[in-house]
Amino acid sequence: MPDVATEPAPATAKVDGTIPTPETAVEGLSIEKLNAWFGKHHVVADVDLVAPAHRVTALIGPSGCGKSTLLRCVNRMHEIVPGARVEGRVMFSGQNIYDPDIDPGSVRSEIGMVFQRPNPFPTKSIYENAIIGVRLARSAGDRKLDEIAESALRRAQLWDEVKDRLNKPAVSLSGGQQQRLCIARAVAVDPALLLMDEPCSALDPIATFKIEELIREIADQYTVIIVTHNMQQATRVSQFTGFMTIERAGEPGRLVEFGATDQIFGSPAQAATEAYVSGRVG
Amino acid sequence: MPPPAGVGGGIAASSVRVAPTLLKRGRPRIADRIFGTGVSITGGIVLVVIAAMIVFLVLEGLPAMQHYGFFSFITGSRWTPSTAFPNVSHPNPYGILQFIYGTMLTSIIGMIIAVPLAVGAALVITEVAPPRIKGPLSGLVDLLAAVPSVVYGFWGIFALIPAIKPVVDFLTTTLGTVPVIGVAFQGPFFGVSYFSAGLVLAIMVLPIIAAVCREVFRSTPRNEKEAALALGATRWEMIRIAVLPRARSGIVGASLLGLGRALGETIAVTMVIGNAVLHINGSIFSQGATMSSVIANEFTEATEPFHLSALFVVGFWLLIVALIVNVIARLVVRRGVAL
Repeated sequence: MPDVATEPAPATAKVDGTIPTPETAVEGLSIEKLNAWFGKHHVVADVDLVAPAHRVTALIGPSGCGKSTLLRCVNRMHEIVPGARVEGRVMFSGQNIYDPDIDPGSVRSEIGMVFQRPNPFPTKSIYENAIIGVRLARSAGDRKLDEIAESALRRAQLWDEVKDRLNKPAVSLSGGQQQRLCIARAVAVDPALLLMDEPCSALDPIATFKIEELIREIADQYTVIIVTHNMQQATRVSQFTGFMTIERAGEPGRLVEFGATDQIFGSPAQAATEAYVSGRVG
Repeated sequence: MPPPAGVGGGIAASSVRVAPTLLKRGRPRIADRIFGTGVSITGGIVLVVIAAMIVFLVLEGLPAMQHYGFFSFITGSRWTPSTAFPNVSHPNPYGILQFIYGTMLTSIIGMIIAVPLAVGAALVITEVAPPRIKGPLSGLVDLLAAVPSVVYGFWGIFALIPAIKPVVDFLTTTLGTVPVIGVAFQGPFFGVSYFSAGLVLAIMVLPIIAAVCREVFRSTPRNEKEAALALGATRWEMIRIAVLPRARSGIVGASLLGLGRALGETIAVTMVIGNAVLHINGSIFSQGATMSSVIANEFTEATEPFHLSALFVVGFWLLIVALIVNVIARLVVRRGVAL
């Protein structure tokens, strides 16, 4: 695991004065002047954001505000769509992941991602799903794989439910279990950063509760950025929140406000944030 | 308080007579019955036609089968109509084992070459090629399927065979001299051969297999491809993890379609296989014949006793072989799905 915790703090906080706590001294990830397009459509404009290390940062905002796109820019998944384009910098463990000589695959293997809908590989077993990232990285021997599988499934709080049927296909699990398997798959490679794109939007309340509990549990080991539609979820799991919105249809999404979750929901500085978190808009 | 609307409330609160009037007795509605009958008729016609074909083949082949015995055709491998006499039934001059062998061998050669190429072509079209050339590329493959088989045969004789001659001559003098396995690669090579037929078949079935595989690969959920990429997979690894495992039974199904065409293909094969009907030739570079090629070649001049009837027997066995291959393949697909 890259040693992000010892990275020097940025000389100046990138987000103008809105970062409220000294915890941002440890930088997990910083996004600088990020712009993203789908073809000619400008989706995300001029986002500056620092996600503190070993904390959960939530991105909230109305549908279509570009928050998922922003998230996908962080592990270079945005660019796999034909016509998609990114400008700006994403600094991660001292390097700009958009440097021309950086291999996008290596970025993606260092940054885990959990998607909106559970997407385990249906033909593979629970065990194979959990360790597939390790297999791709070819970084462990076969005996080690068993340990990695167990520890990843434990961190995803799935171990007790599946330990007797590791060789069963992943699709034999319930939706919530599949999503936790996807989290196990993502953490098995020990990523420094975990991105979650509305991980509970396809799940029932009980499965959602379990995943939120799990996010709180793993937050001290990973830097987490989570996109969510559910504002209660943001208050339950995150320490920091960024609010994104678009002014009008067709305009790019911008980061309106970023700060401690308590502050964003309790005393937002911007009128647009206030309107959204109080439920008047969106 | 008034009784709540709905059946349940109605029964409890107002009157028992309400419920029966809601349920209509009797048969399904008329439109549904017309539809059902119509579909049964059209579907039934197909089954009747297939059954009629089998009956026809058996009836036409019956004289030869009665004269020589049902199994004597598939135990012999000499096809010598000129030695057939009306009153002599032993030995059977119409042995067809070499044709069954020819049909299987050419189809196997064709499939061994075509399946990997077709899967590769389909992967290029769906996953690798830049979006701009995906369309033209896929149209080109479809176009291959529209070339008439006689053109493939023509091309086989005048373009393919001269082109492969030096390579095959080299193989017969090297591989052909190796003990044991050399038998399968012995010369001399006259151009027309099982191998040439297999090669032409490969090119003919390739577009069919590629087109089906393309649709199978295209149906991979984006979700799962992204899961692989997000783990840092390269494009090839993504194909290996997300695309191919899901497509396994689809690839087998596509290959079956191709195999079906290869087994029955007549004109192109007849043009490039050499039509040697006398015995089984071990070498893939030697001349031979298939079940369909011997029928196409001889039905217009089948004047010897039982000759025409024996050709119908060949047709009957061709149908049986195709059916057996299909059943086996279906079993493979079913197991493939379970894996």
